[in-house]
Amino acid sequence: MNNRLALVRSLIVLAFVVFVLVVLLPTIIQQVTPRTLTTVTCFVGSEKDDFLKNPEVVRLLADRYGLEVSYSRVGSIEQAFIDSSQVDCLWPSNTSALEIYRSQHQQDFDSGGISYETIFNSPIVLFSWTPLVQALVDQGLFVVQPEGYTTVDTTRLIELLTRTPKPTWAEVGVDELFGSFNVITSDPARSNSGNMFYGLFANMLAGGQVASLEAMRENLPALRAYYESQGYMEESSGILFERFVNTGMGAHPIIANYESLLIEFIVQHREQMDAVLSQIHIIYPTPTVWSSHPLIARTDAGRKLLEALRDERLQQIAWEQHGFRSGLLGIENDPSILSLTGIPAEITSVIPLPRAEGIIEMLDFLRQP
Amino acid sequence: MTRKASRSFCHFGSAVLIILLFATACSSGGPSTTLRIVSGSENRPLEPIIQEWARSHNTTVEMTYQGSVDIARLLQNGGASFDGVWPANRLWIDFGDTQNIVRHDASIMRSPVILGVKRSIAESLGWLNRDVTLSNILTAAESDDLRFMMTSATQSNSGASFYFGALNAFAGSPEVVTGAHLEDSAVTEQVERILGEVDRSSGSSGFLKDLFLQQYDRFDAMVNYEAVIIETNQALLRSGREPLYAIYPVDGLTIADSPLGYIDRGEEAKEEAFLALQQHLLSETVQRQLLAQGRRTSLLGIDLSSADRSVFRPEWGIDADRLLQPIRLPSREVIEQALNLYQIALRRPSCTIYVLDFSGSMAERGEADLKAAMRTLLNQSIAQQYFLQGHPGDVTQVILFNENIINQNELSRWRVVGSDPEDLLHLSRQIEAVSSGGNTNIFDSTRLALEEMSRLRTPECLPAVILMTDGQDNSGDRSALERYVDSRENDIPVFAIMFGSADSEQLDPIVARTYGRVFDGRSDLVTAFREAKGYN
Repeated sequence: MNNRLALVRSLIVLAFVVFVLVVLLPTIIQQVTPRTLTTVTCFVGSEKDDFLKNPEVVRLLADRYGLEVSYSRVGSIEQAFIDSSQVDCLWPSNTSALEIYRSQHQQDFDSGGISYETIFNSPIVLFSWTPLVQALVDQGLFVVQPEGYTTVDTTRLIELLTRTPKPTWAEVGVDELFGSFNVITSDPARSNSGNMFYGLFANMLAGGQVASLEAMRENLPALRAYYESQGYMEESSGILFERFVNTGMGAHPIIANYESLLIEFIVQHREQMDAVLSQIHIIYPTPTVWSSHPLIARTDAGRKLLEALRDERLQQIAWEQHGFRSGLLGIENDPSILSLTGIPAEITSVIPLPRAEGIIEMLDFLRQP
Repeated sequence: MTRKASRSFCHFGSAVLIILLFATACSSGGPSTTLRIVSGSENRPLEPIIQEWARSHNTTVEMTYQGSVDIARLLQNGGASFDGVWPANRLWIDFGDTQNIVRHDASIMRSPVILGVKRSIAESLGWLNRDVTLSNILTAAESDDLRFMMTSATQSNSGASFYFGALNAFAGSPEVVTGAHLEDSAVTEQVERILGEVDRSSGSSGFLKDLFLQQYDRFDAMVNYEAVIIETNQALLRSGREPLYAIYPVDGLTIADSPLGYIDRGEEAKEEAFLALQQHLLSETVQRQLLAQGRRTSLLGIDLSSADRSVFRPEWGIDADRLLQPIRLPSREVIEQALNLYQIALRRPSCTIYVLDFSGSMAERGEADLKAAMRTLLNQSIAQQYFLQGHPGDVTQVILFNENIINQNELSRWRVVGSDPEDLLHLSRQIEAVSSGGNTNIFDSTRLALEEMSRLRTPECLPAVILMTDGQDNSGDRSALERYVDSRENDIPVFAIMFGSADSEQLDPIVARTYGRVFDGRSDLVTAFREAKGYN
């Protein structure tokens, strides 16, 4: 009896030891001596922070491609101007940054020393609250498409924003709010999403075409009037979105921001998804502008990362957990996977941003005292 | 298997187990981390939540409470030795973070800045259940129906918020207040009038609440966060007094969003601890706790549908269904201009008597620090950095003491009426030339200051005595001081700054009796002086 007990006990210990050796030791050993990964250093816009920190993304990059990304968060336009000689790649969130960077490194681009590819896309959209959206749908400014998502004619929107004086909320059919109709953006001089909305604004003022430098110059006073009527503006897209969500309809009736932010927010608050969707709506400007995320690879390590980011699973994570649409040909973003309503599978009406020189001239003009 | 074999297996097994336990302990425990967080005073009641977390997470959290402007200034200078900032409004991080050192900032809770009015007064003003404008408030205050308190707009977020609200309202609720409005005398004249009705100021919202409770019979209302008004009401109910009714000025409302941000200096352990704390505060459990403490924490908007009506009480004027529509804040440049304008023109002027210790023990460091502190306040180009510049209606008097009043026979030579930068600089130079010696007489010199104030003060100004000492009174008459205070109207607060071996047991009764406050200047005298001045 006693012997049997000892045997059972030994077997349990044996099983435990085997378990330790087989299951835990490899992980421990791996932790103690990780396999050598290539570190890719990069400048990255803060909106991709959560994606790059996502544990599954980190693991896939390491396991499948032997890469780890060490990045500093740098604003998109700033990336193009600061010294990039020590990093493997840049990953801004607009094409203006790419354009500026290319103009400074044309030879390297021509020789193939620097390569780039748009990894993600996210359209600039409006976010607003149910009572307000309903009122504006009733008034015909917002239109619910047969597919279930809501759009706004950008030309009409900009016409309302440039009217002097601006119409009141009551005049556009929203009785709950006092004051003037408005779309709030992040600070265009400091933040990319705000900057892009001003680019779209300039295109509409130029008659719905990509604003040439001349057209931009001609419309600077109208852009500045809008800018000055905004007062204090948040310094980043993420902060504007946070404040929109948690200070409500009275403080932030309508904002312009990246589509990806709401998708990411919903993924982070899955259990309250219905509440979110019953209160917050996306309105797609027609046309809108893409926030593109081109990865600019300067070195071999950078090119390895560029290659890795084409990975279908990574692209899928980017869409399903962070709301970035794929920038690559042939990859589809199925909104039904998100089980969200009001999001179109494709964004069809897109206008390019004005050229970088126009944007820079606009910023200089807005910032003048 | 023999018993010996099984035992050795046992040994091997336990060895592995011990190694494993050790490895786990190493990866999750490690040495304790200290987080130093500078926060607005309105968060002080939440400290138990933080300390409870700290205890169970092998972390020390040191909380320091400062006004918003000080927090912004601190960030501009690199954040001192703090790891986190928690001002009432994100605006102050944006203002201060010129070096881009703040990361991970997230709003922990929201609270609108409102006017809490004793219910019976609100009722007699006809304010129950109706929209109240800044104009209504001005009229009530000017007809002496409303005695109210608010914090300094240049030191504290709640005061600044109310001030921006007044600018917006008296500018006629434009899309946004611009520089042109600040130059429009029709606007500024009304703003000056409403600020002129402020009966007591303070450098912090938390202290204002304490003061209101202490001097309940002297005031009818205060500007503060909805959360603080709720706390005040809970205290009033406990003591059987009439609670405050919440007025949300329709043309001058702002919402504080209390962002907690991390000051990044590349220390991973601290960052991890910070994020864990922030995650804890944003967890469902703590968010519900915060809601129960009068903070708004709903995920979407600021609605109160899930809030406890015994906290957010409808009979206190807190209407869960009300759509709060705050004003748009002016641009950063205009905010800065507006704060300067408040300080030099629109606020109530200050009548300040500095009572400065030049006893023998002050020699060496104390004397040098004291002179530097007075230079900060009197030299207008330094004072401006802290929004502490003078106002043309200010009166500034300096009294020097040891066992005697050193400058008793020439007090007028140590006085500046107005805010002429040259005059103030000259006063600063006079102080530079004094050297210390002798004993300490706090009580008699404070009494002299209070007597002097009753002669100097103007009807417009807010009076205060700022007493700085490094020692214990060994020759003054404490009961004479107390008798003096009790025999007067007692509306002159004494702000005492402790230094060196100053005795809080001697200072506490003076400040308590005069509804002032003690500031600890033992580690940083200049900051203590600045803070004390911010209360006047």
